[in-house]
Amino acid sequence: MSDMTPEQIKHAVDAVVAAARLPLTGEDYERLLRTYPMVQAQMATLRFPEARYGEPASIFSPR
Amino acid sequence: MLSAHATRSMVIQSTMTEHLPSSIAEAGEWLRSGRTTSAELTEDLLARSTAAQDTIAAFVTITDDAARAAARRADAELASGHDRGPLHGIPLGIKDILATFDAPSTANSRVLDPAWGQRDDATTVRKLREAGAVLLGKTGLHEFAIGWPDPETGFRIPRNPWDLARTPGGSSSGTGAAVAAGLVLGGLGTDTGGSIRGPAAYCGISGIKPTFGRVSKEGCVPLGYSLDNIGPMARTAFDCALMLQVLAGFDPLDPCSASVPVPDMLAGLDGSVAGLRIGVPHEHFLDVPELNAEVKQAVLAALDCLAAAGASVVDVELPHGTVAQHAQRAIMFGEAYAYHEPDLQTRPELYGKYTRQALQQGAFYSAADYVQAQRVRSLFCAEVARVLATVDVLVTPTSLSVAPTFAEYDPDAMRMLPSFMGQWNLTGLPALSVGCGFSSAGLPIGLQIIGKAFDEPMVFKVGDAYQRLTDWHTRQPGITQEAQLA
Repeated sequence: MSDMTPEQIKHAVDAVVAAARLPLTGEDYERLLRTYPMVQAQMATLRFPEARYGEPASIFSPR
Repeated sequence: MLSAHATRSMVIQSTMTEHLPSSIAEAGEWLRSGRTTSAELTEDLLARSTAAQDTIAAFVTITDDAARAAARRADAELASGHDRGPLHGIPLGIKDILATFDAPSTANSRVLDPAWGQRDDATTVRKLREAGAVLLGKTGLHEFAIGWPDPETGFRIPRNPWDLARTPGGSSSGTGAAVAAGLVLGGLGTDTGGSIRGPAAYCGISGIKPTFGRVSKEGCVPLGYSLDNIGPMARTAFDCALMLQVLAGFDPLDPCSASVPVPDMLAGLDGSVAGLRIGVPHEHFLDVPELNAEVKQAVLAALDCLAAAGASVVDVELPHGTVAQHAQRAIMFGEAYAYHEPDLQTRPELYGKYTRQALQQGAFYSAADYVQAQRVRSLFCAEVARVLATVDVLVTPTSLSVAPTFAEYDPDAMRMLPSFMGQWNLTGLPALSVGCGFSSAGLPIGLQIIGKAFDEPMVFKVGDAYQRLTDWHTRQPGITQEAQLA
């Protein structure tokens, strides 16, 4: 995702913002545009073979 | 950040004086020997705290009358032979994200429902009162414990007593600044990714994020439900142990609370580290180009000090330190976004802009990201457990650098930097920061000590022994310093 073009980033951010119904200032929007590739790059690092089928550390008790 | 203030020179008078005790332990001795009373101590610290509101700005609310009344009660009880223990009559501060019945709770935000802020004491606050502590007020923080302070919200911005142009760190900025400046003898912070340990390091004090579940979170505005912790901040590791002894314990009101025995936090504080094994993970935690050279040098010197005192310092491997940092952020932003989503949609203008913009990023994390982060959490927990089976504690720097100036703040750059703290929120393990030196500019440097689950006594043992071997924790902000606020 880090090799996304500015246009692709803009489309992706626009879609997320619309789905989330977030009202933004111009400064908010610019910040999201800058941040999106960074977040996607970091989330990509979570996908590696040892973590592919691991049990998530969710907390749940049936009691 | 300080543009609202005209550029000016500011002089801070001495932040500690000889007639005030320097620690909770020392104050306890003074109270019981008759050298001072809680009322006198409280009056002194209230005066200092009020005077410092235009400079250090540690408090959102100072509860003068309630503090004076509590101090008088503490003195009367001690006089009658009713001693509630080490916190009896001790003035403390409470981070303003924790509920208190006698003062509004704001989370440093215009967004928090005022009705929430009027509720009864949080469990931790109630425990402190029952232990006889005197609560001087509610300390400032980064709004909702995330982001960066925005002066336009109207809240005071705590500043670092070592240099007013610098941040005390966050999010427990007010408690860190107040303890460092000698306005309180200890206080409560909260920590989701380093919000106790970071300010402790930047302010030259001690602070511990306990094991997840050790201290009840009831009565705390959440940031990341599965990462949040409440813990003590004080001048020494010993004082933190005194406070955690009171704070720890199962609470049925907190679903994350752990029903485990509370050990004697002081039992191992004999000053010895002989025979202990200290693991040092280099990858991500020490051998990273972003780590400030003076910080690295101070941490390595601290390890030499511990080795000279008889500890074995060994290299350990934690290959997933970086990915664990990313997993912690995915979980924190996901959980925070779930809490804040309605307010971000309907009244975003009430947030400070840095907090709003940080929280908006939570929309970027998918449900799959969150679950994958929880998978990484399992993997990293197992990795760390394997390492901790071979050593007693891990040691890392607390932070990459000394406290930056407000003018240096760059939220985008910060997101790209390595962090050494969030990994221990991810694993839930106890992590203590103690001072281990000062930079050439005279700014504090922090050392992080991480222990096994529910083994805070071992973490305190190493931190306390280190503080008996060094004097970093006894240093206080200068008699007079000038800061250019721009």
